[in-house]
Amino acid sequence: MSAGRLFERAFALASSTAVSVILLLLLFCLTFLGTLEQVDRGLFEVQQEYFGSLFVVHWAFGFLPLPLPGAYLLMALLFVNLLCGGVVRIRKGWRQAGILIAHAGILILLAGAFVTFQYAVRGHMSLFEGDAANEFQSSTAWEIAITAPGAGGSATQYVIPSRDFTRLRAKDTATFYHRAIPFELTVNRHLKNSRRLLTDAGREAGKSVEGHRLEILPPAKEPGENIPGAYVKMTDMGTGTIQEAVLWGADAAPLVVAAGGAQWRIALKRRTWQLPFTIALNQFIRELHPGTDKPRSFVSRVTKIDGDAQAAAEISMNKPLRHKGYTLYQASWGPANAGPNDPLFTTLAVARNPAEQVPLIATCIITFGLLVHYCLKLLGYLRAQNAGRSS
Amino acid sequence: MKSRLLPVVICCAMVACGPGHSRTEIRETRIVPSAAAELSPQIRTEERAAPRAQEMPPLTWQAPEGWVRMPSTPIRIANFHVGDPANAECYISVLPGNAGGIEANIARWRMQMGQPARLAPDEIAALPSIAVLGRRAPLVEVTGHFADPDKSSASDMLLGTVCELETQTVFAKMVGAEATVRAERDAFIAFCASIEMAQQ
Repeated sequence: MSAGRLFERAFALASSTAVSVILLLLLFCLTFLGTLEQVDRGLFEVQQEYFGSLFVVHWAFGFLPLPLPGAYLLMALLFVNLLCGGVVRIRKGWRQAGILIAHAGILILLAGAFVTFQYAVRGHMSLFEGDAANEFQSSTAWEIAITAPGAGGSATQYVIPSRDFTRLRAKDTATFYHRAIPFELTVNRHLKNSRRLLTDAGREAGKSVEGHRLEILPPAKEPGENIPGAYVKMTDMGTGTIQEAVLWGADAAPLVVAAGGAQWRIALKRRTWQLPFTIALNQFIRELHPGTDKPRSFVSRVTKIDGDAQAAAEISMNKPLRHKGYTLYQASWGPANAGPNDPLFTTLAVARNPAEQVPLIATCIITFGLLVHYCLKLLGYLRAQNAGRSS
Repeated sequence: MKSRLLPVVICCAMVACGPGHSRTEIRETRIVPSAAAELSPQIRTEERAAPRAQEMPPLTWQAPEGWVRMPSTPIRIANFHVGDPANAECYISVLPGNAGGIEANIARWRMQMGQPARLAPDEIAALPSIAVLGRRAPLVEVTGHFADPDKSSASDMLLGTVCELETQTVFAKMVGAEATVRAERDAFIAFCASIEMAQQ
């Protein structure tokens, strides 16, 4: 078969309406099964497994493995199918203008979803009145942070995001290095949810490092409640000395490693991102419904400090603060068991999504395309009616 | 053709199934203030408000036999799992000042066990008292369902005591399955009595 013929066949398959129908049916099945699965396993984990993956195995009735394509793969295929069939192959003309516009809107929506999935970051910051912060933490992602010896009031932190070591299989290892760090760090094992135990604390035997070991716990239903752990090994590049250690997400203090004549601190901590500006909380106002402890509204009055510029702002439930590509929403407050005179902290959700406005734009385009299409259809119908009457 | 492909497929499968060793250069760095770097990276904002280890009174205690020592946390300076299976926990925590007072803390514990009614001052005064740090402190006993669904069982029980010092308040609390906590009541009282200020 010639290359041209092969391309024609592939294009015909990629642009086929039957493929569209199959993809949409599979997406429907995946949404249905994923929604059912969320009841037992929680939203985040199912979202990752069913909607953020290429393939998924659904256990029907708890014992029957059902391999399915993941929503990530299905939407990528749908994008190609729509591009080939709904834009390239479709007949071009005024009558198809609305459909073309609507298809372009769907393509933009799918592209926006891809950008959001790959590049958006979401986290939160908690501030008491008088506190200021220029960083926010993820609720679900973690990192290993290696902090260099500080000098002049600041220190460099080298960051290994959890995505680089969470997918390690049982016997896999991942080694990380940087020319400024005098040792290599190897993650020998990573546990998604764990508990640090003193070796003499349990009855079961297990790998123990300096009197500590990690106990595997089942994944928590709420992903933010998982406390990961890792067995790590530091190899001094100068002396070849090897030091093993256990890192745990809820450790009260970082691990200290002596290498290259200095002390380095290593911590497994929630993924942290820095803001290009600082937020200071001036006042947090929580209003309760009379006679209850149900909040009616909560407002954070903040000062946004960007270089030498300072500006007052108010963040409330439906009034986020947007600045330099970041959006800060009023998300929560605490402590949960605070008494009437206890100091409260505000929790702001922080998001950076390069495609934040894409769903709005895409929906407007799709709506406009459908309006054009239905108007053209209506005009055609009215013309046909008039033609029928006059004849 | 098939016979030529077979070894390649087998090799690929062996490589895919065997242990993997990856080497990755760290690409992400950030500058942090030295002060921030010295903070414990796991302490949440509300925990930051709690006294730090060096500000806590140096306490010692004698753990009853069978209690499993767990690592301390920023809040829990002593931390144990109790029972076999371990379905109860016991810990000592210290908060600055009067931490809301005895009455408010007893109300908080009762609320955690699904008993929202606050005790009147005369009811608190009528609670049995136990020895803690050379003082008498009320012994709170509440049964019900513990508010934390991960730790609650069919029937739970909380034993707790609040001891107000000059500048701090010491809490000892045991919570878990009612049968275990009830069986460990005397051990808890002995544990509280064993808490002492360390000689400096």
